[in-house]
Amino acid sequence: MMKSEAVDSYLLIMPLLLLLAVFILYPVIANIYLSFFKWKGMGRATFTGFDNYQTMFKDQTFWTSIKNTSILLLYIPLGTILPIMISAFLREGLKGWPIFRAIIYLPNILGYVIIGMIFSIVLRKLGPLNGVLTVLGLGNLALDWLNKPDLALNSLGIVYGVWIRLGFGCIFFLAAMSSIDESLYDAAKIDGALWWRTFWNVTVPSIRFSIEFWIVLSCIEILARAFPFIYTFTRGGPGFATFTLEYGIYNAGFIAFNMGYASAWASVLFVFCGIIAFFQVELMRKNINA
Amino acid sequence: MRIRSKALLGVLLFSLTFSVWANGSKESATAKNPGSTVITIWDFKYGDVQGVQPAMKKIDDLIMQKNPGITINHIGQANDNYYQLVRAAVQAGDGPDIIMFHGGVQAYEFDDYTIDLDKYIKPWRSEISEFSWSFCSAGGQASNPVHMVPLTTQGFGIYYNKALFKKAGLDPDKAPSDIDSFLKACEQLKKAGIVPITAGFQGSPYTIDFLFRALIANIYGPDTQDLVTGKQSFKGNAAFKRAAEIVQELFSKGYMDPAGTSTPYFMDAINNFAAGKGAMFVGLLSDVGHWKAFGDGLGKDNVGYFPTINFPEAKYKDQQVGQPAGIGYSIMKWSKNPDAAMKVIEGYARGEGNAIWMGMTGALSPNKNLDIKSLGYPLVGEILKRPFVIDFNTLLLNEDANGNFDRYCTQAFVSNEISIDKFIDSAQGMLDNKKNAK
Repeated sequence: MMKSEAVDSYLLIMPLLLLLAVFILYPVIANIYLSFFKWKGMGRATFTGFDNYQTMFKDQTFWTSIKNTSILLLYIPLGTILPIMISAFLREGLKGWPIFRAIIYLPNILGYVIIGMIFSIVLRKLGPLNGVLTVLGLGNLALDWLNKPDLALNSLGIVYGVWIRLGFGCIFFLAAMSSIDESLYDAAKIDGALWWRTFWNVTVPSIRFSIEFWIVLSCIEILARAFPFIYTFTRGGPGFATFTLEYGIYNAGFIAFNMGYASAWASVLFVFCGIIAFFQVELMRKNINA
Repeated sequence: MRIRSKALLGVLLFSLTFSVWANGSKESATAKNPGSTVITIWDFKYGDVQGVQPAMKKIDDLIMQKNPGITINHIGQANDNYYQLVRAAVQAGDGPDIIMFHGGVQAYEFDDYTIDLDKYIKPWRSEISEFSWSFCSAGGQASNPVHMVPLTTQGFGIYYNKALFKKAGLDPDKAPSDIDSFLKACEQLKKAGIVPITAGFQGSPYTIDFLFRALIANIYGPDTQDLVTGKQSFKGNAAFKRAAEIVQELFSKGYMDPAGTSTPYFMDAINNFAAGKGAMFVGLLSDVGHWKAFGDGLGKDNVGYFPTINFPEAKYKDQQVGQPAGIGYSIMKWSKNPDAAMKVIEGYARGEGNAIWMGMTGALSPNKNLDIKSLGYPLVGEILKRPFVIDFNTLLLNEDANGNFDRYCTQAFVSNEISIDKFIDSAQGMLDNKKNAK
């Protein structure tokens, strides 16, 4: 018979487990199940075996979305290094830091939809960014950011992959750095280590777990949480230039209403997220054991 | 034990709150008019509080006045996820009595859930052309029962600003009749410092999309339907390739608004033309960007119109592209009051209500009994004197019709990512998708 404390524990986590089962576990299972059917989002579904997967692997748009998503993932190193560097500078104290912190944290308050909309205006050919560049005499840098495929994808990478989480990254890494033993810095100073050497040999190794966690988080943000931003920023365009795996799921599911086909795409995304989740769990286990 | 009691109490409270909230969110329109039949309508136009909603409110009031036993509960749903909501209602087997649909493929998907309207429309069927009724029949087959009452006939055409034509030394009363005169007009306008074609490409390149639909009408004319049976095609058709080259030429010669890539078509480009910031506009025969908006903005006698651009490679001339039913109302099978629901729909599609609808929104009504002259806009008579050729876009699958065609247009003409031949291949792919759809 179960101990009373154990029963109480299960009882307490039951609402959370229930919510997880209804809103996470069931949709995942239903998604995989649906990927073997043809279903228009209503009425009866027809079993089609692996048809959806076969169509998907032949679909050029699918491979374009994989390519675009992969390019966005390449922005993670920059999106990691930049907040760490800024945090390392800020750790040493900066005049006016509270104001700077508020400004840098602003994107986190605004939300993806609003920021996407703002940047779709800012980066227009006749938008404010090009206006400023022209005024500064840098007219040759005033490009058509959202209508050239490579520029649009890289603009998305810089804004969504780097800038949007910069503020949160700074707060996150500053918190991590606050736990570093000050004596390590004192020792480095006595040894005559310069800023860069201290940063590389003291700061970075001390926050290694936080960096690894941040990378995992960034992967998830790009793979599975970019849709609202892209929807307002470029709608996956120009053409298919910013059309990601996640955007393809929306397109197949809610524009074409091919729910089974969308589920096949979502299953691929699930595999990618599963791999990342595996690394995350391994990471946590490693750090607990360390 | 104390923890367990607290946890149970928490779960109980949560359940109670949830059930109170769920019950509270139910409609209570009956409470407003006890004893009356409440007819609930869902549509994606009612949310347009400045444009369409005032007209709909006026029509609803008129219908309720004429039918004292009916109360209309009109709900404007979000445009972006409208069909997701409708699908959710269908899955639940419950929802509004009347649902607005776009004509064509988006309505046909719901044929199993909407009722046959033949017996209701029989007394007044002749008021609307069979061109529209057949499009509103199940699966788009004229031999099938009608499932939707059309509220609009929609289409595309080219409007021009007569004052700017005059300023550029062009004859304001003579619309460019063929590609040569069109390009000459563009050149003259450009030289006069006037934007030849006001355009909107940001987000979706609707100016190109709509221009293509108008050009395609001239290429295929009454044979447009054959595009999805394989009897006609884009690939291998010299006129279709020429149409693509014409669009490309308009860009390369700088006739398209250079600010177009920074301008969304809805509503910025439309407003730009209505404000006189350009000489020509590939516009709509719909409830926005139309004869009324431009007539009000530029002066009723200052707006000219021509349906398409004639070019020698195209088999037909002066074809006007249209959708026999742009939008319409259907009655859902679950409705407990289909007779009352039909009275509401009739109030929109016929008589005084229909006149309010067209007069206030600028949408083209398919009802032939409407007195066009009483509207006071000569341009609308000019548009309606021409027959319509079916818009090829209504023949495609949802995904191609609502997004992919625009993406190909962007790739070929805005971002110059693909060649004309690749564009033709992609466009042909959409026809093949429809042909091969199981």
